[in-house]
Amino acid sequence: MNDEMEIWTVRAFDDASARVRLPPPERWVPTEVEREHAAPVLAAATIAVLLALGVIVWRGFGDRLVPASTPKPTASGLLLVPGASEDSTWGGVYEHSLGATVLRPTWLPFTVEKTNSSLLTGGRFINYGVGYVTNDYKPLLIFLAESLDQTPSQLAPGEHATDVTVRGHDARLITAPDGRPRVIWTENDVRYTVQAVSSAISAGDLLRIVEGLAAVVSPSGATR
Amino acid sequence: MNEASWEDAYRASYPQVYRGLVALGARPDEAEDALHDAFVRQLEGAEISSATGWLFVVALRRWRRRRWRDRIFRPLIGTPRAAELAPEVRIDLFDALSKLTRRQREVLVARYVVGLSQDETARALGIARGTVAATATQAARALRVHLEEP
Repeated sequence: MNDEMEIWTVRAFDDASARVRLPPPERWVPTEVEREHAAPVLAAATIAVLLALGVIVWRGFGDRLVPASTPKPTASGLLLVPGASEDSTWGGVYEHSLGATVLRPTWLPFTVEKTNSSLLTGGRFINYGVGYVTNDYKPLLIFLAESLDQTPSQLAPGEHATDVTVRGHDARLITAPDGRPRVIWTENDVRYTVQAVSSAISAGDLLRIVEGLAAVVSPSGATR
Repeated sequence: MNEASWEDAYRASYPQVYRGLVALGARPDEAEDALHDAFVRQLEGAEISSATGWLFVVALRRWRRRRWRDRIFRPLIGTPRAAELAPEVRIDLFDALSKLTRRQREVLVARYVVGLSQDETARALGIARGTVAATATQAARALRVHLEEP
C-alpha cells in the first residue's frame, strides 16, 4: 500500500470508528453473578452441542428455518439438536437455562412425535427454542424464549397483530399472511414466543397451548 | 494471566474490539454480548499472548455463532438487522465494507479499527503475514472505489 492510500485508509477508519458509540464502561465487564454462572453453562452447552452434532436434525424445520442465502455452517454454530424424548428435550433446556423459567406445554392439538431444541446462553443472555416436528421432520410448532435485553421481534411485511391477554399478561397475537399465528408475551423477565409452523394449528389452538404452559422444575422435564 | 490483569487488559482493548465488531456488521447488543462471552472464556483458562488480538478473534467467533443462530430463527421471529434497527448508527464506510469479501473485511478491521499489527493480524486470522499486507492493499483500494461510486 502506498503512502497516500495508507493515509486515506487510516483516516477513513479513524473517522468511521469515532462515530461508533461505546456502551457505558460499567457495562463492559459482565457482573459477578453472571460470571459465576456463565462459565460452567457455556462449557456444558458446548459439550452438549458437540456430542449432538452427529445426529443433528437440521432438516427438522425444512424451508421454514433455512434462510434464502444458505450460510456456511460451522461445527460450533449449529444448535438445533434432537431430544431423545419430549421430556429429555425440556429437561435439557431446563438444566442450562441460567435460572430462567422454562415453560413447557401441557396440552397440544397433536400427538407428539419428535422434538428438537436449541439453546444459547452467554454473559447476559439466554435464548432457547424447542420445536415439535413429525416423525418425518415436518415442523409443527416452536417455543422460543429470550432474555429481555435481546431485540424484540418485529412485524414482517403482511403480518398483522392483535392485542390479547394470555396467562394474565398482555400479549400480541401475530398472524402471518399465510394464516400461521404466533403469540408473544413477557413473563418472569423472559420474552416468550409460541409459533405455529404448521397451518393445521389455529390461533385458538395456539392460545390454548399458551394458557396450558407450565414451568419445568427438574432436569427430567417434569412440570409443577 | 490472573483475573485482575485480564480485566485491565480487557478494558484497554474493549473500545477498539467493540468498534471492530460493529464495523463488521454486529449490532451493538451483539457486540456487547460477544465481548462478554470472550471475557468469560478467558476466565475459563484460555492462554493469551496478545490480549487485543485474542479478544478480537474470540469475540468475532462468538458473534458469528450468534449470528448463525439468529439466521436459523430469524424467519420465525423476524429479528431485524442492525441497519433496520438503528439507521442513525449507519456509517457509509462500514456499509461499503460489507461489499468486500469476508477476509478483506476482517483484515481491514483488524488492522485499522482494532489496531493490530500485521503479525498480530496474521496470527489472529490464521493467515500468512504477506497475505495480510496484500489483502489490506487490495481491500483498501476496493473500499475506496465503493465509497467514491456516485
